[in-house]
Order: sequence, then C-alpha cells, then structure tokens
Amino acid sequence: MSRQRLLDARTLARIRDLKLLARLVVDGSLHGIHRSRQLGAGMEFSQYRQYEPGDDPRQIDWKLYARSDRVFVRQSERESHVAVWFLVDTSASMAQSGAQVDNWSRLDCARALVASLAYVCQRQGDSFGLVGLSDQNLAYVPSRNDERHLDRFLLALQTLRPRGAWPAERQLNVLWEQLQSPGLVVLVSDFFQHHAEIERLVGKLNAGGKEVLTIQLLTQDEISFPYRGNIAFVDRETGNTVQVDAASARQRYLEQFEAAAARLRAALAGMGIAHQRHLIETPLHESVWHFLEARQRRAGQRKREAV
Amino acid sequence: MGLGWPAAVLGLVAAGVPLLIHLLQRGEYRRIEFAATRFLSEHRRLRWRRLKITQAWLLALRLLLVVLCVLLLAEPYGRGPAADRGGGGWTLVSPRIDSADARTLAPPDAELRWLAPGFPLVGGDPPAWRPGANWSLLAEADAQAPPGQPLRVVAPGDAAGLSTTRHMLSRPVEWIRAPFAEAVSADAARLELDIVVSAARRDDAARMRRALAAWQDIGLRVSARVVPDTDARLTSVYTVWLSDLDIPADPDGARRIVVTDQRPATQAAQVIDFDATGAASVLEQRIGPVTVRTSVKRLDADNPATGDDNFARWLLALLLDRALVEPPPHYPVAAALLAPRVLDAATARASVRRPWTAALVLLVLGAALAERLASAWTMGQRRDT
Repeated sequence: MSRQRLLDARTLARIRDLKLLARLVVDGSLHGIHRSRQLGAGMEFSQYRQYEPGDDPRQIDWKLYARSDRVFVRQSERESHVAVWFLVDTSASMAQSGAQVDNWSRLDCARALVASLAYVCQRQGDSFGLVGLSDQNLAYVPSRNDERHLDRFLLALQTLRPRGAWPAERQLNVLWEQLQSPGLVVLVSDFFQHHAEIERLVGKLNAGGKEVLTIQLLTQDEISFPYRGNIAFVDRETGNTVQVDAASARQRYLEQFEAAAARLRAALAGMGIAHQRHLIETPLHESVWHFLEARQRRAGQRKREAV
Repeated sequence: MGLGWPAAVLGLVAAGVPLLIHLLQRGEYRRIEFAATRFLSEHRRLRWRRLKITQAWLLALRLLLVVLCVLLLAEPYGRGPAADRGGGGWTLVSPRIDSADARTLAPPDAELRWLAPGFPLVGGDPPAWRPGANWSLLAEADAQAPPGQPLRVVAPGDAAGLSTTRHMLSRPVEWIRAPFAEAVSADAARLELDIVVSAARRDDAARMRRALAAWQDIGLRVSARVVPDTDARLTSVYTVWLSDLDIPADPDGARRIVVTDQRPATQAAQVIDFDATGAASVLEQRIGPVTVRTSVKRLDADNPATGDDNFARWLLALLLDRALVEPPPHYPVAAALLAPRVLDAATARASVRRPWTAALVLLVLGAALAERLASAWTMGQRRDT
C-alpha cells in the first residue's frame, strides 16, 4: 500500500498552504512512477549546433571553441526545459462551488491544480509564469525558473479572485507580448463561453507555435443536474436569472450542456489540442499526469526540432 | 338527491383557497448560484407548461377535498328505495281521527294502525288520546314498522306541524291532514291542572280558570282546580303558581311542570323566548324533576294579555311543551314552544340518514390522507435537491 494516498477534494479544501498542497499532490501523484524521477534530473542527451547569427552568445560552448576553434552552441540541456504558462480563468463563474465539498470552488481547485503543476515545473527546472484572465483584472507573473520564483508564483495565485467576465479580445493583446517564448500553455477554465472566445484564444496560442493543454473544471452538479423543484438559477458572471422547474428542465439542460461540450471537444481536437475535463470534487492526480504527458511531448518536440 | 342545508354550498368558495395557494406557491423559487445557467436559458415556456401539469393533480386533490367537505356539511340525502314504492307500510292514525276518514285518506294497500301505545290495528275502538305523547310514539313506530317502508301519519290539521327535524327518524314521514272526529269524548282529552294561588290573587286565578274552561278548540277539556297556597304541594303534573311563596320541591320525584310569574330565585334560569321587542319574555329553570317556566310579565289583571282569547292557548303551550295548536299571534313564546315546523316531504326526507353519509366521511378522510401523502412526497422531492 502506498504511503501517500491520493488527496481527495475534501482534504485539499482544508489545506490553506498552497506549497504544501502542491507537494502533497505531486508526491502523491508521482509516487511509484519511475519515469517521473528521470524527468527533470539527468539530461541524457546534449548536442552541438553550429553557431548562427542571432543565437545567444552565452550558449556558445567556449571549451569546444578552444579545442576546435569552431563556434558551437549547446542546445540539449536548455531545450529539455520548457517554458510553461499557466492561464487561469478568473471570471466570476469560477466562483462556482459544488454541493458535495464545502468551501471548494472551481477557482480553489484551479489554484491547487496550478500550484501542483508549478511545483512539478520547478522540480523539472522549467520556467513558469501565470496569467489570471478576467476583464476586470489581468494578473500576471512573468515566467522564471529561479529558486524564489515558486513562492512569488504561489503568492500571486493565492490572490486571484473570481470576478468579471472573460476578457475582451483587445485586453488579451498584451498576452502576445508576454507569452513570446514558445513553450507549453496550460489553460484552466470552465469553458463556459458565449461566442467561442476561449476557443479563439486557444487557437491563436496554438497557431503561435505553443503546445496547449486545456483543463476544463466542472462541478458534479453541472454534469448531472440533480436539482428538483422551482429554482431560480443565478449566473453571477452575466447576472442572468432563469426560473425553472428543475426536474422538467433537466433533460434539455443536459442536452445543451453535452452539445456544448461536444462542440468544444471537436474544436480543440481539430486544432490538435489536448483537452481534459476535470471534476473539482475528484483528486487532482489525473490532471497532473496529463500535464506531465503534455510536457513530455513538448520536450520531445523541441528535441526533434533541434535535430 | 337533495341537500339538507343548501346554504352550505356557499362553502364552495373555500375551494378558492387551495387554488390561491397554488398560484402563490408557483412564484416561490429557491435561488441557486449556477454558472452553467446559459444552458438553461432557452426553454422557459416549456418549463412553465410542465410546471402546471406536474402540480395540477395535487391541486385537483385539494379541490376535491374541499368539495367533499362542503358536500358533507350540506347534508346530502337520497330517497330511500322504499319511499319510491308507493303504498304499503304503516299508516298511523291519530286517535282523534275517525277511522273511516283515515281509510279514505290513506293509500289503499296501507296498513292502518292507531298512533297509540302498542299501535293496534285500526278496526276496533279508538284508543284514548293523551296530549303530548305523540312524539315518542312516532319514534317508537319508526323503530317497529318494517324497515324500508314509508311511514304515513294521518293527523288533525293542527297536529301536522309536529317537528320532525329534531327527532331523527330513519325514514321519511308523510303527513296526511284530516279533520277531527265528530265526537271526541271529553274524557279522552281531559287535562287536569292546579292553580296554586295566594289569598291576594284569587281574582287572577278565577279569571285564568274561566279562560281555560272556555277553551275547547281541539277537543281538549281543561279542568283547573284552584288551590290555596297554604296547602301548597305539587299534586298535579301541571301547575300554575300564582303565589309569592317558594315553589316546593316535589316529594315523590315525579315530573312536574309549573308555570309562574314569580321571579326566579337563582340565575340559572334560561331564556327560552323573547317578546316582540326582543326582551326576554319566558325563562325556564329546572329544579330536580320540576320544570319552572316563568312569565316575565305578571299574569294579573294589569296584563292585557290575560284577557285575550288566546291566553289559554298560550298557557297550555307553556304547560304542554309543544301543544298541538297553531301559534297564537300575540304570544311569541307560544310560537317558539309550539314550533310547528310545517313538515313537507323534503323536510321529512332531510331527517333520513342514508348510509352513504358514512361513505362520504370515508371519502373525505381518504382524500385528506392522500393529500397529505402527496404533498409530503412533493416536499420531500424538493428537499432532495
């Protein structure tokens, strides 16, 4: 029996320290996976490439130059590291919490998840940055990989508050300047979109040469719609109120919900983007594994490009 | 089918209450924050329609409950099957009716019996008539007559007003009015009463006695004996007490009825009638077996009513509880005491309890239980969410 058990949402909701939470999640998730031990540690392969104008002079292997009188740059070691950007939806709909776990909102889950992934990144030596996406406030933590960065990152993550709506396109323009370096983008959101605006952003990121991993956070209630009786459903993001007899509205709701989900999956699959649906009431390890896979893919791709 | 209390139908207005509650409750919505509301927004109309349908049966159940309760209050009755059969059954003939008259008035196949103890068949001598006994006789006849058959009563015109609604009979009573027999034996209708009087009021007693003696309207011979209050004991069943001395308790415990104008000593007296102005006119109190009815006005020469033709009638009404006479116009008390409710067929039937009243009660209970279960179930469903 494994010493570290997978942490369920109830436990996670009680842990206030994001760093501790991240360590618990990651250690629990990666326990027993040998491959994961090798991921960040040893760089088994490094190669030289002839220096080309534009290459950073710091990358030149001067020892080799001394021996051979030719200028090479070392690539492998750096390329196996990945610049990871975490894009977290902080619109008001992220405040939704499930009925099963108290004090555990979608944004709480996103925090725990991103903190865990960032912790993985730090262990791998990746640089990682954060963007909180809301039309009222775009939070931003630049991508770094120094020792203190995780703390800064987690602090910024802690201060994210759910409010407003998905940012307008022109608000997102600043993103393109910040997310220059090609790398892995992890978008954590509920993907409740009105005009495919989230898909558009993902598409742009994808077209910009970034590996994109999308994680859709949903609550159990949104999937199963267990409500009965007369209910006024209030959407905090739009302010809309819909009064329904829940039992009779259920069928149509589920149809619409699944139709939207299917559209989203098809759109993302069409762009070759890995998409994962995560219920906030379930443990995080699966998402951590998906992230590791995506990261591996990215690293592998970079290596192939380098060759 | 008819209704014993048609005004109860107004209670149907109460059916509006559950309707109102349903309409109000429909506006009651629990608020839930739900981010995926956008997937709900497009089919509001459908939901309203569905809402109406799903709760309609509960509404119907509640309306049914109210209607059943109203129906129960309205005392519905149906004619018994036997009542429709026409002839047959007992026809009771008052001893004051000539048997030949009764035969012509009653249906041909009717079984004629005297309205007298034992209900002897009509044919022999008419039994003696005693005033005041007819009621218990009618109830007894109702119990003895073959069930399911109508009951007819041939009675003199002034007796046909016997109130039946207070005595619940198991079947409708058909009243047949008949004239008095030509010769009513004076003995058969003799009523004896004492007038107990103080020395000062001898004149009042004499006047009262004259009035009673003159009154023989229905063949009832009243013989009044004037007794001085020095020897005051209640020897006769009926006594008029015109003295300021206390009315003595009856030593042998037999039933006595006393009419007096003496003010009652206790407050226990109960007003049983009012005069035209609404003031109490007759009080009644019971002292052991003695029933004392007190006229608020003194029964002396100053009271103009004592000279009235109807005074004797009124006095007898007070004494006999319900005398078999029409109410005299000047004496409201007599109107109340006689209470000759005209007994038409519908009123007679109203007194008939058909077994399905019990069925109606069961229905109401069943509907109430079903309503409770249904609404508990509905509430439980709401709590589940």
